[in-house]
Amino acid sequence: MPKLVDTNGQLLTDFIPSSGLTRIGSEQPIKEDAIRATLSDHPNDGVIVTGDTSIDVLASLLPELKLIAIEFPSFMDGRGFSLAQQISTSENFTGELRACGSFMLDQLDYLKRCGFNSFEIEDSVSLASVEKLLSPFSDHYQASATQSQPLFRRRA
Amino acid sequence: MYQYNDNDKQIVLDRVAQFRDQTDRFLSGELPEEQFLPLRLQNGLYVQRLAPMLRIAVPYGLMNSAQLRKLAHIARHYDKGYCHLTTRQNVQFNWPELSEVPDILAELAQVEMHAIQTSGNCIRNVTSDQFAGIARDEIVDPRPYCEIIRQWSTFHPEFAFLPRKFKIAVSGTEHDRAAIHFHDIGLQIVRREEKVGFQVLVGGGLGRTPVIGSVISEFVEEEQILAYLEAILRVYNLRGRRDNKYKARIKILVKALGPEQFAELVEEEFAKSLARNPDLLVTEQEILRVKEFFTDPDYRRELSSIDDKTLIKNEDELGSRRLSNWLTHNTYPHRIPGYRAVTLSVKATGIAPGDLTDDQLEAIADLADEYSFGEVRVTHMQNLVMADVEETKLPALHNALTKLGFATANIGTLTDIICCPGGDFCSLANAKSIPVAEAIQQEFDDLDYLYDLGDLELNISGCMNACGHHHIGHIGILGVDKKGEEFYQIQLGGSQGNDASLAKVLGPSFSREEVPAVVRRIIDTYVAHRIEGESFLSTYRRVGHSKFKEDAYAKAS
Repeated sequence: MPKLVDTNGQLLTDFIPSSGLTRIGSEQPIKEDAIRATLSDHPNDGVIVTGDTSIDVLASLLPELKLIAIEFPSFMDGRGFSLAQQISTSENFTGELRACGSFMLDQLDYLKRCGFNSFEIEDSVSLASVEKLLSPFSDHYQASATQSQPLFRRRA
Repeated sequence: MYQYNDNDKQIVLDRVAQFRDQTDRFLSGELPEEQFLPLRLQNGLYVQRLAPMLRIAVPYGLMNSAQLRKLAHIARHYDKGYCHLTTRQNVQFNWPELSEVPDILAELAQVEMHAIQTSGNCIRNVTSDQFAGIARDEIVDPRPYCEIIRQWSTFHPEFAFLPRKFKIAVSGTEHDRAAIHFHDIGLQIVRREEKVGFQVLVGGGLGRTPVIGSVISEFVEEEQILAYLEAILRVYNLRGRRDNKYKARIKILVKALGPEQFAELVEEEFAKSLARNPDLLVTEQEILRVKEFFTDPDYRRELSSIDDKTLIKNEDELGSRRLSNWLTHNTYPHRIPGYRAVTLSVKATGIAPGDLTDDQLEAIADLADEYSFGEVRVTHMQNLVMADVEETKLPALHNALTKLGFATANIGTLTDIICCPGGDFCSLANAKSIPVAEAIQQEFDDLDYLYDLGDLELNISGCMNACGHHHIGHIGILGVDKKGEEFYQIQLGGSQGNDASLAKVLGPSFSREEVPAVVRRIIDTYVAHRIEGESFLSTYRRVGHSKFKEDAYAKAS
């Protein structure tokens, strides 16, 4: 059983592991009706996608989704960062955006700033190391999910 | 030049602590090697043939004397006493110990330097014109924009795991000296009436598949540049190929989609992202703030220009010839009367092109303080520039540089060779490149003959990754491996400037011993066919590839 932590490294309990979520493939057209039907039976469920899924595929579902998990097939595959950025900045989505799969802990800061607000990690990982790796920097140049304005708008 | 405030300082210090922690976890076995690999690469640390190689960022090539002295200290205490200038205006150390790299980074942080994103699949150091701010043909000084882009790209959360590396160059002059046609993104500053903006090129590059960049926008306003760059990077990050590292650069995506469709996708993403986040627009206040760091130094405004004849009049015959050659080839006009820029040739025969020792770095720092407001620039031709030297002081500076070995008056000539570290250092190389450069420099040791040949660029890469930019040399030399033996393919007709072109392969490759003689035959063909005053490149383009090929091989047999 993996564990789930939030952006502060706090343990989140009572969650459905990503392996149990409804998978949406990257190809179009998606079976929107089937996904809607599944979700209406299990309203707290979410969907799982990979980084090669276009935001356009998800667009019509965004307002109804409470959880989107983006799976990283490898920590070198950075598509999930851009997809997360697109989802998290969309007005139509206010739910949980979860990182899962083969990301590495040293990417937690980048993941968090792209808008992920939960992270599914192996049970063996210590919460102390997660907390440290979530915030290695005291400030950043860019605006992000954790900082509404870029540094150049905040400089004295 | 740009100076850090507390925010900038803290970000670099946080990075040092982060990398120290990552290195410690790797050395203790906690962090697996495959995870440490991209982390160390994003900090400029390669594992090379003999030792790790650490690449230090020199943003758009600009350094002050305190930074030069720090590099000297690092060369002396952590390395074997020298460093190397790269074709992207950075500095490399070839012999650091992995366990000492965090200490090196801490030392660098003291002088506002770092190794952030000098390697890896992320946005690399932004490069520009070595004569930025002083060139007479400058439209707008590119350095403030380079700095704004540097800050935006530093630890950008979305673009640290791109399909492949990503390089941006900015030119602020009419005559491109930043090779903007051969970068993932090339930005040309343009003025439209009162507005400053950028012509945007994408998809240029060298490497295995050399491509000249395509214009995707004629004018992006200065305030919008970060939003536009972000849109390009997002389209690339989401759509660039990841199945084959040799097809992963943005140039392959732009070719596959076509520049028009790529531009449409960027425009669409640009509009969406600005609508979602108008804070991406760079404020006028920020542009002014950064410009304040690049105002004129304390020039003496009462000076007038001095011609070479006047400058050499106190020298004896030999001295005046040497000084005159140097003034002609190694100095460059300045927009302020009474000043010139001076190029220090790091291309003396017998020294690996672009290599500098600890003592030389310190001596250059002293000279920069004395002659050029304490600053130098690294050029993408692997030389150094002192940009603001008073003309009256040129003879004295020439003397000092002669003693140090940096006054070889060969800038822009055949022996001002661009050369990668090659098989002597690099684990990617198929062949050595430094000994080839040296052999050619020895073959062409007569300066008067070199001057007669005029502008000639000869570039050498030890493998098809093309760090030595062989595709854009007038003469390009590429090291290839033939059944375990080192051979060299010769290419002709490349050009890096406004008339950008890619070199064409001459024919079957040559052994290392043959290369200088083949270059000699190519030069002979040029000399035999040139019309009065015609450059090598013009003659080559007029006479045609086949004539050069015929001569190069006919006489070889």
